Amino acid sequence: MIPPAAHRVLAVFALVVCAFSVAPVLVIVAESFTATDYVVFPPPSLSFKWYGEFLKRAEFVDSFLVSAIVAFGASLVATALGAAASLALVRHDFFGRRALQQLFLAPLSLPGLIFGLALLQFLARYGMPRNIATITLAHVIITMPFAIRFITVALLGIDRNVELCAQSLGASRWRTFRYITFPLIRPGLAASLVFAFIISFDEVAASLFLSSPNATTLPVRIFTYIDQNYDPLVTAVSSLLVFAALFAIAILERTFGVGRLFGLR
Amino acid sequence: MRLAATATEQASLPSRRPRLPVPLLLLAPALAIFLVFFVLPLGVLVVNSFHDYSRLTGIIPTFTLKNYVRILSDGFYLEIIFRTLRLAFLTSCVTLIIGYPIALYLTVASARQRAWIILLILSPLLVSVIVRTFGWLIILGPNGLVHSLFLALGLQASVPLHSEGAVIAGLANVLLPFLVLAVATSLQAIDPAVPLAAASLGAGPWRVFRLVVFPLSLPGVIAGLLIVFSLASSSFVTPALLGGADYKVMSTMIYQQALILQNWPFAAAFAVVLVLVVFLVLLVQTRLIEGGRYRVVFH
Amino acid sequence: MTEQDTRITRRATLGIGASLIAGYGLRAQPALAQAGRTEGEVVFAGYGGTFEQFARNELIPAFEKQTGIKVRFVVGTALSNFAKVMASRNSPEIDLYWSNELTHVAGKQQGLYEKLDPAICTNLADVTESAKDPDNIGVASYVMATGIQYNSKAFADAGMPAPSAWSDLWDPRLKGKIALYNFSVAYSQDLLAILTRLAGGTEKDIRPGLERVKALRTSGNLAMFASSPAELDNMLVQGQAWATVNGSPRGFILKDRGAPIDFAFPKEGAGFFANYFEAVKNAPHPKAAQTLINFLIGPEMQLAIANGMVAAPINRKVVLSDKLKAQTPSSEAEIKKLIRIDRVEMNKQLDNWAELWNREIEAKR
Repeated sequence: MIPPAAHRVLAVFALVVCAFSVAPVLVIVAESFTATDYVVFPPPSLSFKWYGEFLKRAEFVDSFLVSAIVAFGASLVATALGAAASLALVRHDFFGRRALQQLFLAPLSLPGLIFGLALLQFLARYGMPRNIATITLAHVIITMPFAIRFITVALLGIDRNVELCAQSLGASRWRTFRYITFPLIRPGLAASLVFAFIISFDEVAASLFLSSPNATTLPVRIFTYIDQNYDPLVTAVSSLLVFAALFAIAILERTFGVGRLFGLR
Repeated sequence: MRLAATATEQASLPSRRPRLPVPLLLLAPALAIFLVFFVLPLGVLVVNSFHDYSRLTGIIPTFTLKNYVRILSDGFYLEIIFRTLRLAFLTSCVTLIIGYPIALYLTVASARQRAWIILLILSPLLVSVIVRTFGWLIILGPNGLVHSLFLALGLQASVPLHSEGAVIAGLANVLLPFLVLAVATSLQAIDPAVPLAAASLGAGPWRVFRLVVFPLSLPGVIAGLLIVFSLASSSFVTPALLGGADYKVMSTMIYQQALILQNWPFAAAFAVVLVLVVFLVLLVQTRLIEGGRYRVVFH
Repeated sequence: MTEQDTRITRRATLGIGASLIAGYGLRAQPALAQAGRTEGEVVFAGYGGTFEQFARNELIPAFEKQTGIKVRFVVGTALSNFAKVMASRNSPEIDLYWSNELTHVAGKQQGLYEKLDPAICTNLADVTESAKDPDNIGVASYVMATGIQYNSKAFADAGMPAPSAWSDLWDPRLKGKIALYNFSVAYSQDLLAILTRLAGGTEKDIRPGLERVKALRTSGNLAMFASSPAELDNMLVQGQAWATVNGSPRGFILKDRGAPIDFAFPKEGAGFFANYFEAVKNAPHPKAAQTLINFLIGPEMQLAIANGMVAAPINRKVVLSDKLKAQTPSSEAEIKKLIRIDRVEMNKQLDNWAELWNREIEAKR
């Protein structure tokens, strides 16, 4: 498709853009090892002290815990409910199926900022508190479209005959699911769990409105800190988010292939 | 995010009359959560946008259009809307210029190179936007990478932060993966025989690209541009941190009104206007392009 | 995924899940205090920058040592914290809210605060009259002034006399050297009111003050805006800005630390500025909140606040050093000289003021 002469030029360009793409992340991780008390890049001397400082700050450790609990809960609930919904939407045809599919995908088109604002006003109107449970529910809704997408793709990839075989041999719906369908869609479930976890862990916009003094997620804590201060402490905290992402990428790459996950060969 | 479904849909079960409506049972939990925590809150938002507000009494539940009137007739707010759209447009252009060549290179790269490029371009999506934007803050900020570079070169330079350029750079960086993904997906769907045929009929490489490859990749380009545009116009963290206190876009105004000035009805009206404006622009864009000279590609 | 992988993943997931549940339980512990006794925790919403440092380094450790009650400090501006109090009024998240005059009046009107209980707040007896609220809702934490904070070295190097009056800000030699908070921070809000009063107007029409700030902008003097105390302090210490309008404590604290910063009480009259301690209504830890308030208005803490935050104490029993007497509006006579703003009118008008400011001062391109 492309003449060989242009290959070289494109390759160099690709290299530069790849560097551009990862630059901010690399800068943050590098800066987290600075020994200075203020932000200066490149860091003139290195130290682990900011990681130690982070552990001393109870509110950051607390937010890390909050984010972990929320992400864990949201990914489990979104995957479980998403699997159930996907089964219903793929295996059955009924009135309103199309509309329901659109509804479950709708959170993708709604900016997180606006969803957060809407939820905040909703909670205040009906006297409901802002806490870990409400943040988790919001994240369930935000990550459900991904769960449904992954599991739907997995379901569509199964040969229906295997299931029909099992049922014709007398297996109930539940047994068919448990022993045939479930093992076959496991990769999709795994991808959904990991992806939902990291999306929830990273979420900022909606969480800004739903965080409260008693339950603030880590990205929101970082944002409010940067708003009031500018020192290397948050680079250490941010690096933790980077490491979490790297961990997720490693798992996804191993089970699925990051490119394949997004539809690229 | 658009994710490709690689299999076509298969037929559903032969219709039986089940005693318990199984699909309803399976859907009930998800549907319940969506109705209560997604649909209902949006309803509350829209309803609140028609209410009034006073600092001394709170939300006043009367019906009034004054929030919308204020936003749509006041030059100050219209300028903010315009600035938001301009930011989104410029970001989309920059992202396209940077991203298209990379997607193009993916079609001819070796398997190993492909793996690396995909990893380096897509992986940042899994890192929180606050971290990536903060990274830009360190690159562009006082004593940051750019500043230190200028000082090392002996140049007198001001800090390149708190400007529209800084916001565009940050947004382009954050949204690049979406565009590359969309364009690469549609490029990889092109049958290599087609450009080959064009070349064999005597067309030079530039003509092949201009008249065959690029038009065939257009659906992906449009999809990518639309995603980048809508995400850029509603992004909050990047304009807030990189643009500075006086760079106001719709999302920062919504934040200020809602969480600082506490005027929820006005913030709600602003939110509704944001969604409608972006929706309108996207509609116009798709109509314009999908109905134009490249119509053939889409149908 | 192999069977091996599945087993490992299942175990890993269970392990992570178990530790997260344990973490959740640990977090919930302080909340499991019995009713009737003073609670084991209190959520305190206050200010950032030097105020936060003082709170974390002196205030909170002293309180935790004396009472064993854990303090969770939340940082924000008066308005953003007030927004949190308002947003969660049906299910309050904050116990003690450190307000300013504006939000004290607004919150009181909306019934967001609790009356102080003299049985718990025994130190109220020693508080000066002007610091008490007529209905005993909340109490002033200290008194300070709004005036000019400047970089003394920059002025000396430029051969200019240190600023001593509001009008000094319009000096053409200060082109590009003035920074202000953006409008969400109280000091810029008060500046409008102060300038309007000095021009002979009232809070009902802020035009006179706005025109003066606008002149500062169009002349090119006002070139920078900061959204937080830390940011503004940075601008001045690094010399990007030479002068700003800020509360008196901040300048003096930096000066005591050795930075080339100083504060001037403007000749025409500095602004009266007070912060209040509010016990939020229906808060989760009401008794702990009032215990903390009582601790903060007691003589020991008030002296620490006076020293550490360079603000005039409100407890009659506190004796100040001469240096502090010069830096704070500590006598009744000095307080009378400060310009007081009509906070009720300001509450009514604040949104209009914000709009005018956004439009005519902060809007650029």
